Amino acid sequence: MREGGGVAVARPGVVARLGGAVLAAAEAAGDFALLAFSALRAVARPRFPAREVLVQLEAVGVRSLPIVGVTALFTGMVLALQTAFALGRFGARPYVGSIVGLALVRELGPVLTALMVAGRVGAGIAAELGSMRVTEQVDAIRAMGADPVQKLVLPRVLATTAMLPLLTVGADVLGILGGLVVSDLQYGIAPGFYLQTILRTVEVGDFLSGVAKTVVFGWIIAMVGCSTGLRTTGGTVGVGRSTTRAVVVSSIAVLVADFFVTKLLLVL
Amino acid sequence: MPAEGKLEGAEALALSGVRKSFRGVEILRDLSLSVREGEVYTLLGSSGSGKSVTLKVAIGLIRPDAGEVRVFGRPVSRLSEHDLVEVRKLFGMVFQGAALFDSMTVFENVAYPLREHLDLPETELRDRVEACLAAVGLPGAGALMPAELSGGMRKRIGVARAIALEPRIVLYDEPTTGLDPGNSLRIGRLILELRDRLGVASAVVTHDLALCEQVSDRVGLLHRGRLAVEGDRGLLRHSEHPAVRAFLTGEEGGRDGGGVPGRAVAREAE
Repeated sequence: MREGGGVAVARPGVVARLGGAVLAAAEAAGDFALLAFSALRAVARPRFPAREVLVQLEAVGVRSLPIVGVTALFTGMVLALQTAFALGRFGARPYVGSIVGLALVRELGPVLTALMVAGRVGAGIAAELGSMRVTEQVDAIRAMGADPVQKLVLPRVLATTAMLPLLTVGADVLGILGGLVVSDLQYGIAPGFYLQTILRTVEVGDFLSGVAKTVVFGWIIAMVGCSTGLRTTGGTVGVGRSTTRAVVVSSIAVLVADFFVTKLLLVL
Repeated sequence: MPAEGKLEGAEALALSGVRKSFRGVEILRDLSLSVREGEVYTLLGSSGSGKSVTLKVAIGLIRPDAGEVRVFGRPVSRLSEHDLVEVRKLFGMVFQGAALFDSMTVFENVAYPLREHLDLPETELRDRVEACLAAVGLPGAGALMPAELSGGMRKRIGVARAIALEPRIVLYDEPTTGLDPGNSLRIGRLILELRDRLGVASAVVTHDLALCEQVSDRVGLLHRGRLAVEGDRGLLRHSEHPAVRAFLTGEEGGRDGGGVPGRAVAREAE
């Protein structure tokens, strides 16, 4: 609609609109790649923003603990319920720990943590950088001869990439704990036995492959948040749009990346 | 009181033949102007005429499609973002909404450019920030957060931050928009004070006629992406130029530039 003059503008056809959408997507992807590249280069730049990284580590990590913890706890609990119910059909109910442990450590812990962080942190990053963008604070950084990528993007990407694996470890532990409580109270499986079955089934490799994935997820969440935030236009409405987009795009990207990273890790 | 000898200052900032389009809409078409050391140059224009874009082109936030920007005679419009840093240190920019960093105290806002470019010991940093705050009439405001400030105070802190690095060119983007008359006068006095005390070249972009009368050594009117007229601060009172009439009355025949659409497009596309 915004392009030049002419007849096409008056009535954009399906093809024109499709083309516009494809171009916009390609532009966004290009911006994303450029931003990722500059963020990488900014690591080695002098005046590393150590203080801002610490602030972000707290904002991303510590303050995500409650939401991640509750999610993990209840996921572990419901997983124990469902697994015990299903295993009951084969008379294998006592081995609920094995399945809960494997499922949590390999898949649910990492992915659910990433999705919760995408909702909380990804949205927060997009909203904050988006507001800074529309109130010219990003321009102000540049006007003062500083680099917005180094000041804003790098700390958030580093903090999220570092904190997501740690949050995932916490989620794994809490999820297993939730399963333990339900197994004990609901099905009378002794906690000691529950933990034993987990230790016998879940290997260090399972645990590590789950945690390793989240490094990728953390990077995706922060980069998508920063990229959409910095591309914000159109005032406060635009900030809302960017925030929504950041959550949607990063959540989907996490799920898609999960499949491919898991496939890759299984091959290795 | 016309400028006494101020026009003799050396050229600090010059735009020549600058063009800039956003999404096919030409905002600046062949704009040329220059600002000398020790003078206040006011660029007038209606909303959406490209005034803010002009300032952003001057400091390199927006690259012109064609034409040249010179800072103290040095062409800068083709420099890389990295090389522009040295150029930008010569500038202070006061943004329309002040653009203070919400997450930082007033002190940290003013200290920002100093921390970025100078390795000052903390005591000296403190003194310099306090001096800047005193210069804008807000000594001791350092501990406040931007959200606690009134509109006028925000603008003045914006000025304090802009002069922290002792720039040689200060750009003001609509410094009085949204302010009451008293605060507007105060900002005007501040602009003159900085000119006289630091001898800076100042470029003020505004549509506030009172401010224009108060501070200008020279005035230019931006109309349809070009400099339509230029003169002393009495320009608007005397000129019969159609662009001046259009600016003052809002009436013009066959409009194709200016107007609100240009602004909307520029904002959208930046």
